[in-house]
Amino acid sequence: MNDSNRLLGGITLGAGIVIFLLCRGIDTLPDTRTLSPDFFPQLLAVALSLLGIGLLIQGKGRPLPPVAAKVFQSRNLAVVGLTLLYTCAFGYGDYRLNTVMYIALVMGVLGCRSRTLFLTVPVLATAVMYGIFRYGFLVLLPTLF
Amino acid sequence: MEFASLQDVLAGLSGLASAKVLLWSAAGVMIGFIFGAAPGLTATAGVAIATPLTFGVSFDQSMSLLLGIYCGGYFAGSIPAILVNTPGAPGNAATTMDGYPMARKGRADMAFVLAVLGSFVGGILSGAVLLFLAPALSSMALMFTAVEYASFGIFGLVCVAAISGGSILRGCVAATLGMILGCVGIDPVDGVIRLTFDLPQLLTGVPLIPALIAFFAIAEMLNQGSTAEVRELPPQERASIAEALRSFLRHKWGALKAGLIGMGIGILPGTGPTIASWVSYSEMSRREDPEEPPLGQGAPRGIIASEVSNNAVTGGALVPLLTLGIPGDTVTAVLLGALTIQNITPGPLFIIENGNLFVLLVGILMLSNVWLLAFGLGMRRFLPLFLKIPMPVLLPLIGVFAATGCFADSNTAFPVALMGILGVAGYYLSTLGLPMPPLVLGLVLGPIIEKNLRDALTVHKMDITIFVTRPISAVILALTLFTVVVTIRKAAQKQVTE
Repeated sequence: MNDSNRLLGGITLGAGIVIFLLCRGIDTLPDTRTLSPDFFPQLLAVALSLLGIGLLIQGKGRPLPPVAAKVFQSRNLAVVGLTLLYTCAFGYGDYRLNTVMYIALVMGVLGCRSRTLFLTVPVLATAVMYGIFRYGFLVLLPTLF
Repeated sequence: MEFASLQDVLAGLSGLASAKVLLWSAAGVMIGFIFGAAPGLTATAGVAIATPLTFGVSFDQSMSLLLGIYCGGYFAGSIPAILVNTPGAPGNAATTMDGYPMARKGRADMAFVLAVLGSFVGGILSGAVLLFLAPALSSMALMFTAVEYASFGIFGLVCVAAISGGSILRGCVAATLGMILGCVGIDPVDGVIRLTFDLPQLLTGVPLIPALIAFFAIAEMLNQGSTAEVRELPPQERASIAEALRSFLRHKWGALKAGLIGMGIGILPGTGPTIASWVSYSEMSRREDPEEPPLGQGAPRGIIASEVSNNAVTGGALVPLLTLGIPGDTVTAVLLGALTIQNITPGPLFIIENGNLFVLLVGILMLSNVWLLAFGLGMRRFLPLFLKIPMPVLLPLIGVFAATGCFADSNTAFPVALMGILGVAGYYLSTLGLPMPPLVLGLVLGPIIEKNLRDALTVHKMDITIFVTRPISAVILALTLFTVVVTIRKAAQKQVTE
């Protein structure tokens, strides 16, 4: 499998089958007078599987090695990991601290070498963002103190 | 329902001459710009926050502020859409298709001018239609039942072909995935829980704003961060208003059509600017212009279609609100509360009994659009300065802005985590060539189609022929079929030529 369409087709087919199986667990009411609640998701799951098969047959996508090289480079994995960590931990800890660390780390990973920017941007951007949302839009961002 | 008398028209127009109205309207548009431009915060949020502030002011000042926020907010979502590929509001998602590619070609200024002009034209056009055709249009909207809504939702799916980025098959996969995401949560008809993985936060479904930010902002941010050398956007050219006007006039009929689509969709309650802008974009994709790049690669006509239609919704959505008391979109739902604060009950008798207020309201809507034009064109020189920020600095700022905006939408952390997960998934899928816009379209249209399809079948005792025996539905479905056939023929011809 050296073609992005085929890989996408495989993923789509797999996702279609999994979703179809998940839909079988949806309850249905005995006296429903219209299409049952599992009808639409099941129909979509079948459509997804068929489209996946279509992609598998069609091929002609991007060659996979450059896609894989891009996806698995260490810098990219680091940015993806940091973003996931920042968003998933958003409700925990202190917004200001988390945000300063996130900006500084991503800047470092993306190759920012300016000491001035490193020292100013994370703190200033966090302060501005916190100020606007907390006092301008009255949003209670998570804080510890 | 009759139109207001000449005396009412003159009384209403004289209200516009007040300095207070002018100032409140200007302030409203500026506030709308802030809410519209911040991903996660929308015009609805702006109008909702500002509504309690209108307790102590008169009707004209209250409506000037709120309609200013309404118009400003609907336009301003195009600012981040053009600069960082992140629509400030769902209705500006189609603007990213050509706005961001224009910025990447150094033509962000031109994209702004077109967005401002488009929003202005859409707003004025819809105001004019509201003034003259409101009563007639609202009675037509009343003829739409669940049957027509379901058919209309299916018609909206035809847009997938225009926004698939070259492969209709991949576009269909994305739209189907979006519709499956739309099935998550409590089933709208029977109340059964579906695909929530026992997470109570998913009972209300996958929220649109986090999904929108994820599939546009986070996926694009990760994509930019993964290129071997982090790309800087090129220096931005200055665009003249005359050049933008020429471009606009070349697509005047397309713009008019987009305006009519926006107004038409705005009149239908429960639809709104997201669907309007995609449908108009899709319609514009049928036009080819040898002087412009193809749609999706920085074509001015793509921005015109999206923005004209997006702002034309404003006047359209006020039609059912003022003539039937039914809000046309989320902002007008909040406006209903603001009218109640002023002891005004909109409904079939509103125009007859309060003709002067109706004319004043339409005048304020148009005035807001004039402010939008003035502020938009005045600010445009400063906006591309944003692009001078180095990418290693800009990208984490986009991430933080997106996450904070997402949190602000619901004041809970779960949508932020969901945004992160969907964004990463969207990024990996987009590296495999899956286009993101159809996914969002599926997420918007899926629940509309399913709910109305099931409601229609309940009412008509599972008689499926109702979709072809009701005339409006039959026409919509025939149009859908026609468009699908034409699209497939075009794709086949293109394949043969290649």
